[in-house]
Amino acid sequence: MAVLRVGAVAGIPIVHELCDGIRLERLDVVDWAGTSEVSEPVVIRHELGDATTTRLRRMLDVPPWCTFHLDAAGEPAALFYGVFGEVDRLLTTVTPGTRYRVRYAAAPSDPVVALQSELTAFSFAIAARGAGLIAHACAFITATGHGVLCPGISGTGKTTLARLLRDADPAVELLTDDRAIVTLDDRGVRVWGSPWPGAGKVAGVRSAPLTTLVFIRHGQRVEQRVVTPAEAFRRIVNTLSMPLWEPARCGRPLEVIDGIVSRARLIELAFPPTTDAARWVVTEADDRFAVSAA
Amino acid sequence: MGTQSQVSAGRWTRAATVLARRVAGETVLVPLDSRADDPEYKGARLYVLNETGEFLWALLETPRNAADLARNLTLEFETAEDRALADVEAFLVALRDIGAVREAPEPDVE
Repeated sequence: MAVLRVGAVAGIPIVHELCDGIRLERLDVVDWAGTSEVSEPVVIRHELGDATTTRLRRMLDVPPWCTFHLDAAGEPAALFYGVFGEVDRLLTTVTPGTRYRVRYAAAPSDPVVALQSELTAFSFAIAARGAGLIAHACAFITATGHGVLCPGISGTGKTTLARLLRDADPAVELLTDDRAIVTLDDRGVRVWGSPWPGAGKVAGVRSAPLTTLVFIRHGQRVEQRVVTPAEAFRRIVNTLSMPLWEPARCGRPLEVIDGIVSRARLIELAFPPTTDAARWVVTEADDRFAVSAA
Repeated sequence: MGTQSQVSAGRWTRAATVLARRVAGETVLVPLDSRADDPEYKGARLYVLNETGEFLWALLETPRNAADLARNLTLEFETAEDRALADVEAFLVALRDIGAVREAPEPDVE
């Protein structure tokens, strides 16, 4: 059995166990060194086997990519379809928070892209651990050390903003242009990069206290609006990996969301695709204006 | 889910099978046992209480009947009594149907 170790994500290492000659497509499409390892790894075992869902309860369809299910113990599972000619593969929970299994219906002839199963298993794991949430977001750290999260569904401008920020201010440290990790502990809310970037291939390994939340959208000119915590809650919840399959596990994520919207500065920003607009975002998030997370 | 539109005259209290969290200054309820009751369950639902709902939710920490809740509502929000009772009953029906409140047993009378 081959083993592939992925650098830690928000302090959680990921280990792929590869059985039956299954090979993973190179994960270093982004340069991911990993964060400091501070907790038990998430182990994902890949093997050939029964990839049917007959013993699972179908919960949610996400066509054409996958369906989500629950097993008899109420733990999550996901069936990924071979949209691009891959074989169907079923991700199931072995031990909540630490061990997951991907079963392939047939031997894959080519190396397998791990992104879907890895990202989904990680989202299952951090939910089970109550460790945090994955945000569909662009995120960066200002020169003064403030973490900024810009959540939004596809098409809202996450990758555009990341590219503009890269040009606008070299002192800005980009964390991600697609998937950020948000954690809450005694030190407060932190935002982390991830190895799962968008088209901008932004994958930063650092983290910072989250001090500003910016809801971005495309606009003809820069327009800013202060968002109330209640509105921010309703808007951000749709961009987070909430464990809605298990109501009892929603408590900790709700505490994380409260930590975000209660402490961070909350703004909505419309912006045109210019470096001046990106510079303006950085200025707004800078400590001269941001509310301290302390 | 329940389909009865009326609530009984008995006492009501918070169900143990609901998760309540303060988020952004609001109370968010997540019913925990909806899966057992609903064959069409497709995942947790989040319910946010408005100001009146929060007031009633706080009172429901201890068992109370609809009339008692309505009386408190009238005092707090200067609402007409009949309107307050109708609001309370609608609130209790809604929360009963999502499994957030339950009927409390009547206290033993010696």
